[in-house]
Amino acid sequence: MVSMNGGTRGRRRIWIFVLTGILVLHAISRSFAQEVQTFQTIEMEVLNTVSHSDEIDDWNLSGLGRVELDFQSRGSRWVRSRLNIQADIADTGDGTNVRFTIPRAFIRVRFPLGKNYLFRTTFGKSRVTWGDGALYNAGDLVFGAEGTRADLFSYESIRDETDWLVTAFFPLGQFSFIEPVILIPESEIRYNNGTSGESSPLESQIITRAPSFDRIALGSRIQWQLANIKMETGYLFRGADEEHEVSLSMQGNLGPDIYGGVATTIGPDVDDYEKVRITVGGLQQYRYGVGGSVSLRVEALVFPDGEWEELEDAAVADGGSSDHSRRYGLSFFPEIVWNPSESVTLFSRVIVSPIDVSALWIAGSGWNIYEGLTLSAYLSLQSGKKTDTYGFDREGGASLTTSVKYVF
Amino acid sequence: MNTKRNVQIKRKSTALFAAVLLFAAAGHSISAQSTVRPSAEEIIRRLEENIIHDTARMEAEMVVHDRFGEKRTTMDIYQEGRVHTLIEYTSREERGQKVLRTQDEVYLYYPDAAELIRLQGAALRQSMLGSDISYEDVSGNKTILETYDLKFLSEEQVGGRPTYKLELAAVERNVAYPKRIMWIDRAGYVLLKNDMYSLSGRKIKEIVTEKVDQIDGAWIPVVETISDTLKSNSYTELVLQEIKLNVRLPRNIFSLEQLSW
Repeated sequence: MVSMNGGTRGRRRIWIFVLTGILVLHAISRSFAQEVQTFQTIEMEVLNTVSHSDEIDDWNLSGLGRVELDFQSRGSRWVRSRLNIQADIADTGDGTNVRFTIPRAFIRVRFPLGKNYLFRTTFGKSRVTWGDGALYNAGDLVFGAEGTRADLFSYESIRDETDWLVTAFFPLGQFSFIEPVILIPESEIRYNNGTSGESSPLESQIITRAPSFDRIALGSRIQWQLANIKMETGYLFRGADEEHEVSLSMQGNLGPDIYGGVATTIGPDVDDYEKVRITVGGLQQYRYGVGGSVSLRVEALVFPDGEWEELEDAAVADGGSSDHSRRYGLSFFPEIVWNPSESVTLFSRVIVSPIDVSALWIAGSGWNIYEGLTLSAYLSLQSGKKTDTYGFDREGGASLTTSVKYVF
Repeated sequence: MNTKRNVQIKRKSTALFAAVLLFAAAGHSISAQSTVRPSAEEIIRRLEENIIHDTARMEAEMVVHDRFGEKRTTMDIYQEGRVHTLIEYTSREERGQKVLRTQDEVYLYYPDAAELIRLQGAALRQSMLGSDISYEDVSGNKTILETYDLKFLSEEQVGGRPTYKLELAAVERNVAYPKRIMWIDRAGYVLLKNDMYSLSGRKIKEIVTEKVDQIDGAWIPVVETISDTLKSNSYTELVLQEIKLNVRLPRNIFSLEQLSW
C-alpha cells in the first residue's frame, strides 16, 4: 500500500509541478536546441536512526529512504530552468509512506538592456539568501534570523529554505546589485468539476484560487562595498501581517572573517522579541600539513527584547513552537569542522541556550569513499531539563543516525 | 553552512587553480630559447608572464586516484588577463558551483544555497582541490618574485628536456610551502616539475608535467600529476581537455551576476 502525506490534492499538485517542469524544460530545449542541455542527477540516501523516545522511555530504530531527482537546463546564455523533486520513503504499519516535496521549480531569464547591460528575473520556487550567517542571520528578512528549519546534519547548507517567489537581479557594478523580491502566498489548486483535487489534472481544467493580493510580501535588498566591507540593506513588507522589516548586514575581515546584521520589524502586532534582532559571527580557518584544514565558526543571536531570565515555562523553551510571542534573548552557535583529507570531514555543532543552560550537540563525520558515494554518521544529544530549550527527555533528546548516499 | 562547501570548494578550487597555474606556467612560445642563461629572477618573470593571455577558455578534469578507485571532477575555466578567472564545476556532484576571482576578490557560489560567499583573510587559506594551491595563492597581487627569494641551482634534464633548476625560499612565514624546487623548461619556460617542502625541510608534494601541447603558439602543460609524498597510495591527475586562447568571452562574465546565474 502506498499512501502519500498531504493527501490527494497534494499528490495532484506534485504531478502538476512535475509535468509542468518537464514540459518547460522540454520547450526550452526545443527552443534552444543548438545549445541547451538538460542535466539530470539522481541522489539516493538511506538513513537509519536510533533515537530516544520519552513517550515510551526507550530507544527506537527507524529507517528512511530519500530520493532526489534534479533536472537542470544548461547552455543557454538567456534562459535557465531547474526542477528538483524529493521523496522521503518510510515503511509504517500502514504500508509504505511517501512524502513528496519540490524544493525548487523555477525559470530564470535574462533580458538585455542595450549593449552593455542586462538584468535577470527568476519565477517559481527558489531560494534567495539575504544577509550573512550560517545559522543565525538577521539580514535574512525572507526566511528569518533563527534558521528554525535548519538541517544541522547537512554538509552543505545548514539553511536551505525555498519559497514561491519572483525576483530580479539588477547589477550596479561588478560587486553591487539590487535584488527585488515578491513572495507569492500559497495558492489553492482546484479543478473545473468543482471539487478540490478529485480528478486527474490531465483530464481537467486547472483553476488556481489565488489568495488575496494584500497577502503578498515584497521588498528588495541592495548590496555594495564600502572600502573593504561588504554592505547590504534589505527591506520587506509582509502584507498578511502589515509588517515592515528593515535590515543592515556587513561582512569584513579582522584576521578572522567577521559578519553580522541587525534587523527590526514594525507593525501592529509585532511580538516584543521580534522588534529588534542582532546576529554576529566570526570564521577562522587554519591549514596544516598537506590538504588538512580546521575551520572554527561562532555565531550569536540576540533578541534585546527577549526573555533574559530563565522561565519554568516550556512554551518559551519550545523555541516558540507553542508560544510564538516569546524567545530567550541570547543563543550561540559554535561549529568546528576538520578536514583531515579531501575525502573526510568531521564536524561538531552546538546550539547553546545560555539563559536556561541547555544545548543541542551534534557531531558528524563523512567519508567520500568512492566517486558519488558518501558514508556518514551523526550523533545528536540534547542537554538540559525538560522545560529547557533543549533537554534529554524532550523529543529527539538523543539519536544516532547513519547514512549511505549515492549521487549518480 | 561551510562544512561541505569548504570541502568541495577546496577540492574544486584547488583543481581549478592548479589548472590555472599550470596553464599559466606553460603558456609560452617554446621558440624563445637563448644561449645565454638568464638570471633566476628573469626565469621566474618569464614563467609568470606566461600567465597573461588576453582571454582563455578551458575544459579541465581532475582525477583523484586512490586505493578505492578514481574520483573525477570536471570544470570549465574562463580567464581574462592575469586578474580575472571564473571556474564553473560541471561534474555531477558539484555541478553549478562556481569560483570567481577578480582583482583582489574571491567569491564562491553554491547554486542550492543561492548564496554568494566572499572569501577574505583566513578563508582564503582553503586549499583548492585539496592540493598545493590555496585561494590565497591566486587571489592577491603578490607574485612569485614578491613571495620568494630565488637561487639558481643547476641545469638538469627532466623527461628528456633541459631545464633550469631553481630553489625558492619564502620571505614570509604565512606561506603554504616555505621552500620550493622548480624545474623550468629552458626553451618554453614551462614548469615541468615542482617540489614543495615544509618548514622543517621535508618534501611534501610533487607536481610533474606529463604532457605539453602547443596551442596557438603557446606551450601548455595539458596533463599533470600531483602527488603527496605522505600518501603513498594516492595521486591527483589534472587534465586540460580543451584550451582556446584569445577567444571572445561573454560580456560581464567576471561579475556577481554571472557568478550567480
